[in-house]
Amino acid sequence: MRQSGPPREAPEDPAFDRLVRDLAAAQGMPSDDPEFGEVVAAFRGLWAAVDAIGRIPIDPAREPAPRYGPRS
Amino acid sequence: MIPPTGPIDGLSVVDLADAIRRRDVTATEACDRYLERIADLDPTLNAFASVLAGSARDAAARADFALDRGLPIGPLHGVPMAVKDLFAIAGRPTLAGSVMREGDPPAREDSVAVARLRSAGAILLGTLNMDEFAAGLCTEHTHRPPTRNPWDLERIAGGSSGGSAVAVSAGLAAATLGSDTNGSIRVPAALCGVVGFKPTYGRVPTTGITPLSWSLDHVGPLTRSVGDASLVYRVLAGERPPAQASSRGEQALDGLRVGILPDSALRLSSAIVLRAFQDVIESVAGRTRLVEVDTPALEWSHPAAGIITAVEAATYHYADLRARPLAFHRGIRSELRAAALLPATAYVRAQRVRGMVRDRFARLFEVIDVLLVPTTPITALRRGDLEGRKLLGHFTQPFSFAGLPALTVPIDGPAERLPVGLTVVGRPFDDDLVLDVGIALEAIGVARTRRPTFAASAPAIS
Repeated sequence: MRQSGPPREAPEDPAFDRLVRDLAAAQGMPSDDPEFGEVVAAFRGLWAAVDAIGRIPIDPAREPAPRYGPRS
Repeated sequence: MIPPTGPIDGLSVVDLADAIRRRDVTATEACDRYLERIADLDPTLNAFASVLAGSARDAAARADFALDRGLPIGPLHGVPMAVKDLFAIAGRPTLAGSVMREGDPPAREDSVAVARLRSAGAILLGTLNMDEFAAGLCTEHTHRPPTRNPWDLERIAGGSSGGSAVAVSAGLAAATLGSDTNGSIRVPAALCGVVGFKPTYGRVPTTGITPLSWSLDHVGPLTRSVGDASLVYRVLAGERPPAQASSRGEQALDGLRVGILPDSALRLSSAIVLRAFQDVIESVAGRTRLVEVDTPALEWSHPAAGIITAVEAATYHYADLRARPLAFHRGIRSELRAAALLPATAYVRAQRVRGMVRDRFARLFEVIDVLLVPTTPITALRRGDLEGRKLLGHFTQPFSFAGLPALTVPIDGPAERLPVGLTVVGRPFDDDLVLDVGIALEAIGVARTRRPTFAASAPAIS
């Protein structure tokens, strides 16, 4: 979580804005309040982090699938 | 009787516990003096969310009664402490810095950390201000007046355990507890000039704290010395009796393989922080073996830890994000709302990156015993400096992400004006070595806690 910093500028891209509003509406979250532009901007910031970790090369040999079951 | 060593508020936890045990001072006297100091100073500093004067005095009276009767006592017997506002305290709602929780029912039992403090004899003075739901590194995401740094009242205390750091720095409690997800013990401790210890992940139970991020949250102490941090940490970890702090002193440094990062990794540090850090490195160079190390794990940690924290926090607050999103503090609500919309694949990938980060740190610690880094790249910011905030977690987030033990100790900057923190990082479950190194740094004089000007000029309590 970006624990500090100023509210981001809402992006200019209307399609991105609409996508975020649709995602919120699909979950029953409010998306028509005056602040929702800040939510869109925050989503864009988080998406930048998603993009950043997407660029990290994951080596399956060193990083096998997680194991969640009981261990013997 | 007041112990001849000085005012009670200047005594370490270890010395105050000894003084109470010897009956040089009663638990009631110690409690009253801290409560007086809170009454004098806290209206300016805003460290406390609530002061539990009545129950603290009752507990102190019981502590004195136990000593009078020769009953068994714990290692923190009679020591006045306070905890961040997110630790459950039986009989009180756990507000976690939020107005949204004010109507909540009282907690049925203490959090494990509070229960262990009480079991060791500590007196609970109150709860301490924080960023709402621990989401922040400044203690400005709060519905209360901002918590102020005792070194400069116009500067931030750091967060989210800002009240915990200020209370120790200004002598409003002998020691405090905080929680740390991305740096929330270490950042405020560094900016306020006190010791802060984030143990290995899982070493201290988080049961009974309001979570920010279940898989990243840690609990730990803030104190005025490493010896105190060691004692409180051992109590929190459930050691009975707690092991003695290291007696090796400065010898803990001899032959130690100390990792330092290349200049490129420190480039975001201010000149003041860099100078103070380099002075420490020069001080330890003669008796340790310095090893320059670098790892992509540092860079990988920031986006991955950010995603995990945000998604776990949004999951915890999901019902409120749907029903009343504008009730959250404005500084945190947009990101929480946005995090609830991220795809699950982003979270899982971030957890896979976390595994890689742990692996890279494990390889790093094959060639070093501890790593030294500045705790924050900058000293305390002026309130409202939104741009500078982005730097605060730069050197803390990677180590909580990997679950490594990390201790911040105050070191002197060139100007000795605002505090600078140095962090000692160790392997998982090498908490004892990390604390030993902190004690050694105090022994050779490079780490020391100074009294802030504000608190020093305030009325003495003895």
